[in-house]
Amino acid sequence: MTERTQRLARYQDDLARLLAALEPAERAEVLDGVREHIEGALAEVPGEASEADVNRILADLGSPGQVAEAALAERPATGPYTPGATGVVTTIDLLRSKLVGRWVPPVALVAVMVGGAFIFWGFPAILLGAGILAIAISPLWTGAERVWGAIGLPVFSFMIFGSFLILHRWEASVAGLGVHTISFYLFAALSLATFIVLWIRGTRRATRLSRDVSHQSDGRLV
Amino acid sequence: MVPSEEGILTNLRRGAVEYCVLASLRGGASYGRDIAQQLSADGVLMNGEGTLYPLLARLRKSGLVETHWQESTSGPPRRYYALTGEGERALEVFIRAWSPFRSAVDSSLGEGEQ
Repeated sequence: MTERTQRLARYQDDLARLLAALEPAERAEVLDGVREHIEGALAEVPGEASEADVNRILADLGSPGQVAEAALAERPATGPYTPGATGVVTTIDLLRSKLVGRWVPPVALVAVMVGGAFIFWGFPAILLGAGILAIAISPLWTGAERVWGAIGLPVFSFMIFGSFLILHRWEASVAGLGVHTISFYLFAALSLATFIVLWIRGTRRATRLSRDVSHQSDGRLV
Repeated sequence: MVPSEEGILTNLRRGAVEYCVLASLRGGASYGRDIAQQLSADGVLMNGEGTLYPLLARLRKSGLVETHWQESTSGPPRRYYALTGEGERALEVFIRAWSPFRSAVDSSLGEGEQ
């Protein structure tokens, strides 16, 4: 696969993720339509598609965010004709469509890490809860990454200081280092590593989701 | 808050663009990209050709259009969309309703200016 066909595939992956809330049959129909559109457009390009061809095809399609917004608006539950029919699902979908910007990874990840590390103070639990919710529903991360962000990261960051509470009666030491010191550095490193990997991956997807709206200025979704 | 032009267009498109899609099929069946290019040429009716596909999916689901596959000379087979009898009738009803609607909007906007 060349870099260009990879970009076209990524566009479709991103769209598929944003359409997660749709019924499978509906989602497949939209994705099939977009796939055929891309294949048909590529078939009309003489020879191998150039960078400019791919840019044009993606710009004509509009960003995945725009297509997803149109698809979500087509559903009866969120349609403009049934303003009273709101529910949890609708609210989550609305949130999901808002959580696609480049600001999402740093804000959500910092909230989870700080909230997790200082949760014994009480109020950081709010930060932690909001961060976990954002990571769990944002389309910027895949399933496995969500587990690391919403479960792994809070546990690791809690254990940075939390291990003192749990291991306070255990005064062992290894190679001159107290077990508390070791666990402090270990969990700090684990938290930081998870934080950095998820930040990079989330930001990369956010950039991709917004790349194809350069010709749009309304900035509603992405 | 003053709504943006794009925001106003989004609202106006709802309820109108689907009939433009039906109207574009009056001359015969057509495939997605062809319909999209016709309707998005000026960027008024559609922002992004991709937004056509959710709309086509709904029109098909509600029985206003039907699909069939047709070979293409320039690439893979294409899914063609065609008006159903119900689609034609829905379009006729819209056309009847649209003309007085448009005149009423035009005249009230014109009155406001004076």
